[in-house]
Amino acid sequence: MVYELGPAIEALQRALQRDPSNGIYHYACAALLALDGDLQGAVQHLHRAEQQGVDVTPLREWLRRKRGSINLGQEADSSP
Amino acid sequence: MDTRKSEAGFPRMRTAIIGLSQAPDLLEQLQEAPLEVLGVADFDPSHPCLRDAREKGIFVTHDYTELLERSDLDLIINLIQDRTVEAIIQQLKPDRTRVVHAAISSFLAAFCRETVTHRILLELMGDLARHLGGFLDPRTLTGRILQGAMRIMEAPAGGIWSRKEGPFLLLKGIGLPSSLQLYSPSLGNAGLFDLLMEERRVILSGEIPSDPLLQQEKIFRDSGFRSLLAFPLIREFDLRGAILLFHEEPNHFLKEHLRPLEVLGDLVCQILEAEGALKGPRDLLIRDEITGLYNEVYFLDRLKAEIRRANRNESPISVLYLHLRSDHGMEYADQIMIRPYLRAISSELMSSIRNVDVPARYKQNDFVVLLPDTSSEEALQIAERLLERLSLIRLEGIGEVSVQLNIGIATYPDHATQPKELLDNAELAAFLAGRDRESTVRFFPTGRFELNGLTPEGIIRKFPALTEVFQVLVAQGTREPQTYRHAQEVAYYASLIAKGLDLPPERILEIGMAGWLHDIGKLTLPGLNGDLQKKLLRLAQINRRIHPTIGAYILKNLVRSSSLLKGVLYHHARYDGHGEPHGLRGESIPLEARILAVADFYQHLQSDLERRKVSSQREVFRELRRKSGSELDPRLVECLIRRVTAG
Repeated sequence: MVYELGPAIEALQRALQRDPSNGIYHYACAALLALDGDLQGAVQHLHRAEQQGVDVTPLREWLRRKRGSINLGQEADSSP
Repeated sequence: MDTRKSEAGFPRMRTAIIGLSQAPDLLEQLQEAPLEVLGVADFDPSHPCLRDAREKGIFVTHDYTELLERSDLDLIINLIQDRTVEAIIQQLKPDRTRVVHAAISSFLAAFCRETVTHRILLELMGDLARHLGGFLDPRTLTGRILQGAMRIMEAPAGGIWSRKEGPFLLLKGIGLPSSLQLYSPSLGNAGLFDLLMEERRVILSGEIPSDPLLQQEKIFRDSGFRSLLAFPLIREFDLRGAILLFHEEPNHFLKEHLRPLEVLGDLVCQILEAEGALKGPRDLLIRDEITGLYNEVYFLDRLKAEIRRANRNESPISVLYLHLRSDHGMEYADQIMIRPYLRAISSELMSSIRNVDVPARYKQNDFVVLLPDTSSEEALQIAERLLERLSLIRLEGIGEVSVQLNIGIATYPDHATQPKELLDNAELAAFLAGRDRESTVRFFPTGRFELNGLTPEGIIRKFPALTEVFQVLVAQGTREPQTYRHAQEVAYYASLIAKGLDLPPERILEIGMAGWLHDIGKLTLPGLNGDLQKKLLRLAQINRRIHPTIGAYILKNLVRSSSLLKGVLYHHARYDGHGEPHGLRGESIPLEARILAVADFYQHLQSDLERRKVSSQREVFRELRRKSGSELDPRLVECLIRRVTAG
């Protein structure tokens, strides 16, 4: 039995295909990717969530602790 | 007593008026009296007289028990003619505060309007005020009242008889011959006092010697009087004494002159009772007649008062709700032995609680106990002691009867902020405990919890790695009690089904744990604060798809139990294969997950039942069976129904 996050991430990505401007989906996707170790992907979705007006501070803080020295603010700012 | 003096030199008595709308002018009329009105209560908060009181700067409330908490109160004028209200006032008022009860208060109001025509009553009011102020002893006041009554009725002779026990004795007599001074009637020999007891009204005799009603009272015939007026002093349904007035002329006393006497009679009763001369069953009004415990009305009023006190002192209050069933599972209400049984229980209950606790009989065959200044933990200790002592009751002539006792605990302010809500929540906790079909204690499910050993504390002891996730769950419970309660009850129903399937104890425990944690994926996403969590929960469809996966992912790093992980991961899998994730169907869905699915849905239906969204338990079962075969495993649905109904 495999207890991975893949199915949940896929479910969210499918939901985002239908509703790309849903900031909460982006935020949840960022959280799941972060949990799964894909920090780059997480940061991208975090930025999209922020663009949709979601307060991303809690997850950004969590990621900062997780990544230590990497400056997530700059990365998020420079992402498309 | 307050040292401030009125114009007449008497201390001004700090006074509260209850039921002011019964005599709306009273406040105005009392301006000349040596009283300082501190507060006014009335059930009708919109009555104009209350507005007037507010404008005078007087405290106004619709809850009269609020006034009873003022320790500086000297006098309460109660205008509400309700014996229960009177009894509650007596019970809750400060010890030193005197009460003028409804009949007297009405008299007071009437007196204020009729001072000219009722000069005698005016003098008596002065005497009453002196008595209440401690300047006139009760015996002297009683004598003055008798004198007043004689003057009103123009009677040359009269007396007041009363009793504590045994025969009635003359308390105060004026103008009586020596034979009547020694008159000490008893009940039961068909005399005048039996008549007063039966008729409960004034007896008038215009021709004593030939009156057939007085055949047994030779002493009256020999007294030389021709007219008699006998006024019964009745309190709490019991004849406590009588005022007898005599006149030498026939047909002297007339019915139309009796009204002032009625007021005086009540006044005498009240004074004598306050002094202990007429000590009697006043408690009947606030106590249950079968058990001797307090009744519901008193309990609720006391609870209100205690909650206000707890607010001031920032202390907790707990309520225990005791629901009892016989060892045959039948409610005791159905049994003939209900009275001795209730008495035995209440007697044991009384001896098992503290002096400060307030026990009451509630809803026929249940009991409640108010525990002032008592936290949940302390209440639990008391409840467990009760559980131990009350589970086996000895009935005279029958022997020992085993009892299923379910105790619900609710604590203020953790579980409720309103008195009735607190009581209802304790009842709900008892009801939930009752589902266990064995004697148990249960908290109202928002604070601490008890679930046949399957508690967060018990689980954490066994699996310390789960501490953090349970902390998340408990923290969520303080914000949203429903979430915690859902987890707790799914755990319960899931373990109930697992027991019904005769699974090994270890697996039952793991399934119970899965019940507790099946929705943990909704709460444990990184960076999920309360606001975002709510927003995500609103997206129900996607949330339903992802939270089992997240939950299982979080838990796999903490425990190795495959039952727990499988249960959490697949609890939204549908039996017909249309669920998430992976589209598993039928028996290919792990048993743990199928059990959780049934328990999950059943808990939602139970919540609907409590919120009256579903009308009955029967409808709950119908709804459950409607999903059987599509969403839920039919075998497990029937297993749960069997377990719940058979107990």
